[in-house]
Amino acid sequence: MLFNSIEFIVFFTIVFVLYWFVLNRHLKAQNAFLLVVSYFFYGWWDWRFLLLIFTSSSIDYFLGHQIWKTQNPVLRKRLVLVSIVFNLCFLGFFKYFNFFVDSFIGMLTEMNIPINVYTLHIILPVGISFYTFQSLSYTIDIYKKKLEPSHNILNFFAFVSFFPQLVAGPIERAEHLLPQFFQKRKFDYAFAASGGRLILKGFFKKIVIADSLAILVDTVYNNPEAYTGFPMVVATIFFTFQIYCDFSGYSDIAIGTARLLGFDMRPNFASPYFSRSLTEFWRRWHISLSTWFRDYLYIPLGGNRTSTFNANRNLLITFTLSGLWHGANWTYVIWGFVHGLGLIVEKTFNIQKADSASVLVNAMRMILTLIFVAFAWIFFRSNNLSDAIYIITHMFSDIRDYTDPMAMSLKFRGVGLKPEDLLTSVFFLVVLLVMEYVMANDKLRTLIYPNPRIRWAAYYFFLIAIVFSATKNPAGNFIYFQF
Amino acid sequence: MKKFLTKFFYLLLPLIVWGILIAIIDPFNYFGFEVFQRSAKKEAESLNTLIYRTIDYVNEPCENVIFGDSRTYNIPLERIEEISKRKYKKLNTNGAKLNEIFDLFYFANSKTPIKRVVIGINFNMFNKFGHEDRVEGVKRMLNNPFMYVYNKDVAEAAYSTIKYTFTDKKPDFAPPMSRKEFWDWSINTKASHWYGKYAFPEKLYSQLLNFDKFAKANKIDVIFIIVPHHSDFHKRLVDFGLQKEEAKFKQIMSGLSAKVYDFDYVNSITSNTVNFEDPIHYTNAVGNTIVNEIWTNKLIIGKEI
Repeated sequence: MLFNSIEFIVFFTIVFVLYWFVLNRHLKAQNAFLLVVSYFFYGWWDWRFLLLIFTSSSIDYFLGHQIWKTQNPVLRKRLVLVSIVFNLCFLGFFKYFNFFVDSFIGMLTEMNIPINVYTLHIILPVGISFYTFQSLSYTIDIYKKKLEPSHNILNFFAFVSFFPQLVAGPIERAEHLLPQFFQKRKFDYAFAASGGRLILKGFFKKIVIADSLAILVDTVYNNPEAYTGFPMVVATIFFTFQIYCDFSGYSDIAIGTARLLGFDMRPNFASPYFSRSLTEFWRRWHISLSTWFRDYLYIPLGGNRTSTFNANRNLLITFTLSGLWHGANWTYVIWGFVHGLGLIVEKTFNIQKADSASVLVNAMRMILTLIFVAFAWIFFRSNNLSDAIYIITHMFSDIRDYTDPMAMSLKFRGVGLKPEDLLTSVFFLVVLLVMEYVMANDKLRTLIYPNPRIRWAAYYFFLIAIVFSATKNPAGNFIYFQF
Repeated sequence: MKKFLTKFFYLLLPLIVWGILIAIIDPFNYFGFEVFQRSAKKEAESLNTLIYRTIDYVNEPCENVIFGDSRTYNIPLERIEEISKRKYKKLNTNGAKLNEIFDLFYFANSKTPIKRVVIGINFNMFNKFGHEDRVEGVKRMLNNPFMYVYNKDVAEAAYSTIKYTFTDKKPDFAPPMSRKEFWDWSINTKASHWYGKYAFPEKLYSQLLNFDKFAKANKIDVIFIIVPHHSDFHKRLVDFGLQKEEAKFKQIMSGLSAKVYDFDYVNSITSNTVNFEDPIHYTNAVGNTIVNEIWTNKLIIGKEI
């Protein structure tokens, strides 16, 4: 069930009404209801997935208690390892089995060693990477004694399967979200209204911007050899914003939906394309995942409190694995590796700390960071490595044509996007960036935000743009659902 | 909660009002309300012929249908009906692509079994880059009234319907330049857009063969008319080095089990500017000639290939 579907609107309306009007006096009933509707939400894709999430939750609930009760450090370590191995095996089998088998066959074929291995037809369960990591952080935190295990199995299961963030995050930590299942919820107007605003913003990002940019991006990236030059540049720039609007839009809707149910979730994005360095970018992009990797991989590997060589190695391992987390394809691995390399270069030359008061210098740094991030996205979006290399080598192959409008218009023939659609997409993108800039700037925000006329004009503008765009493009899947 | 729900209602209120207004104006006759006269909805048809004619077809399906792009507008329906003594309907739309024509055909056939099909075609439609996918959107609209009510083209058409109902203005469909300017623009710019980027359309070719097979299996009479262009425009194929590709296209067409009539070669129609409104749109008179030749089996200019 997609957030941007009629089914979800009907589903959530029913959930909201029953949750606040029928079950509002009974916390247990509310939590049980949340569990049931979350399983219904997840089972909507494929009911067999429910078995996976149920097994994963049951094992981690049981192991969490065992780790907490056990005083023997060796046994504690073994138990947490069981949890890690179990969760990663689940993930590994469903997400990476065929990838590793195919890569192995490819390697042997390259070495002229014939091999005949059968790969399995495995369906990737939606959101498995997200809830596996969420569940895993629960047992690891108990092991680290940062968290007490939950004594209420219902609440724990509801926490793991909480539908707003189940399939594409944010990856919530148990220490933040789980206690909220134990607190009595009272409908708070300001909190719910802020959730409503986030949902509006999220739909605007996804439906109005991401889905319209996707048309050109998909056409070019799914058949790159039909294009050269400028369409590739435009498609790459569009994808840079498509993925941001798609994923941060999802996060906004997820956080907003949770707020309408009385839950607070941590922000997952903080205007990442205004970052002045790659280090800053990773503090603002997919925050819940980057902090997860920081806390559960980078720091345990030694972090940066070690020799320069080891710190760089840790960084490279963390980012390469974070790339692999995204999907079973070498393109994601290279994407993570490229970011790891970029961060090493930044740290080596101390670029990330070179703060400047000059607007011009900051703007230049922002643009350079954005160019690097956009370049790395080529690997992320390409269907395979050879496509990525083709795009990189042909992006500027005919730069002379850039001054000829007729040559340019011919290059865009067949991309399925009319010039007015292209301009509309760019216009809405600019609106979004201006809005993000205003919201990030305290002075501007306090000047504009308290004015109800401006606020309501913005709400109507967003709503109308959403409704008219939703009827234009078919509802597109969220990119991060595949992870 | 009451405050929240009230504000939420205020937020949705303009959309509700808008929905009611569109349902009343109904520029594409989706709901079938006749509050506004059909003559005032004329511009709706020109704004989006695909929506207008598809809805029109759904409201009144027909077993004999003419498909194509604007180059089939001047094929006179009445003359065909007069000669054949059968009712025909046009489901041709502005800028239709060949894949869309097939989509429309299968859609129309799902509404009522089709017996006779006429398709206006030309080489420019047989290009890998000549691909669009608008029929799916219209089908979604037909299944979901919200898609109709909150559609940009419907909004524009509703505005024009109101404008022509309450003012003396009449819709003006003339191009925003003189005939000479438009003629030159078509020869230079339009031809470049059509022929400047070409690749053999493998997918479209297989769709064409599947369509031909389907029609044969279901005993549907199919006529393809390769519509004429003025020779000045046709010559542009030489500039883009596409003569061989055009010959291949005609060879493919001739291999179909359908009847294929070619009017697009150097002949008395294509060499005279009087026969054209612009280099690619022939006049009503030429449309009459085409129909007379095909439907009376007396080919003079047209060639069966």
